[in-house]
Amino acid sequence: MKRLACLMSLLMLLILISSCAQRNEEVFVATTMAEALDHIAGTTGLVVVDFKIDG
Amino acid sequence: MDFARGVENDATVRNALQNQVLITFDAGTPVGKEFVEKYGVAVYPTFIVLNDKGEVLHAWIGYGSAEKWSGVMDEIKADSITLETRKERFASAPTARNAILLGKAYRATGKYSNAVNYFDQALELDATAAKAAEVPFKRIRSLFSGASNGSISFPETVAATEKFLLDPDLDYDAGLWAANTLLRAAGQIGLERIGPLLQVAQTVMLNADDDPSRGDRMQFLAKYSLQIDEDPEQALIYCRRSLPVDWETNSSALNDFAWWCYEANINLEEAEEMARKGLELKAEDGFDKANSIDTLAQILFAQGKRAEAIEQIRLAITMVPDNDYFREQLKVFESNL
Repeated sequence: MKRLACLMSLLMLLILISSCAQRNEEVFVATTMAEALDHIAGTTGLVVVDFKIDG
Repeated sequence: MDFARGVENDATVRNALQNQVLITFDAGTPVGKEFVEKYGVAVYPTFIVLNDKGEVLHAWIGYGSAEKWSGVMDEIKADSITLETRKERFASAPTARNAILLGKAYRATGKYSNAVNYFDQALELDATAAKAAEVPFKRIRSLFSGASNGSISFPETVAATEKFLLDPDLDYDAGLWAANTLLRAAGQIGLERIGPLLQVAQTVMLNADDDPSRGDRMQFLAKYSLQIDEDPEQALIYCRRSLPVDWETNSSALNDFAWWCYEANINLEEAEEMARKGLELKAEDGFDKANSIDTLAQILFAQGKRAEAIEQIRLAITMVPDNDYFREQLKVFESNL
């Protein structure tokens, strides 16, 4: 029983690690171009500009 | 799924945006319009990738799918040079990959002549890779956009379109797009200028041996017969050929046929008969059936049977009471009594 409980704990831990690895990262959404450029200043990050039209 | 939903729900898109910044501009707002003009954007959605100095790295049109969009992002992140550097790199060591990227970026930012130039070079450097990346289609779209804003000459567009249509490897969906665009533009450009090219498109669509595009090709030929040859009988023959083989027992196809006749303003008696037959085959009340009733009502109205048209559109309204379009139709019919 002790071995089974140990295995179960290990399994739970693996599930937890796996779900953390699959968690979606937050997407930073800027509202102005200045804010967008400021957010990535000095990094290798990029600004992705999405042009859409509503209606 | 569109891009906004992808950002909200799709792990592939969200991961591609990890450590990046997303900013959305709506071209319908003053701020959006300012950036649309700054970057020469003309088609939506368009995506532009900038570095921290605000320099353009890449630009492209269309979302496609989460995988497709993220694939482009991954490619740019792995090789994050500016458009200018890519141009220089291409000048010193031309590759089809860079030619395709440059062509796409220039097309997305409204520099159509440059786009055509790079697409041409991509096809020369590696025709297989370029065709796999749909370069011939993107090239013809760039040419048409350039012709419509005056940055590419009309004779150049005509010559290139003819070459495109006569390519033995023509993708018929792309060919159809070009043929239909030419047909739509005929009124504006004038038949004396565009007529010979349209004739090439007609011959190609007529002789094509491509089953998946058959229905759409026949639709083009029907429109061509009506608009260019002014031959409604021939148009009707092509319209029938555009329908699935079981069309006379298929309620949607019957409705399509009836609507086509209504729009072409020909064969209205048979159109009425087919619209009624289609309705009999529709079991459930609801928007779909109401839409088919609207087809019948329009055909009745076009034949001067106004009272019957009103009766039918009222029936459609009982099925979808909140639909503004059907209520507007009723007003139109009633005001003509």
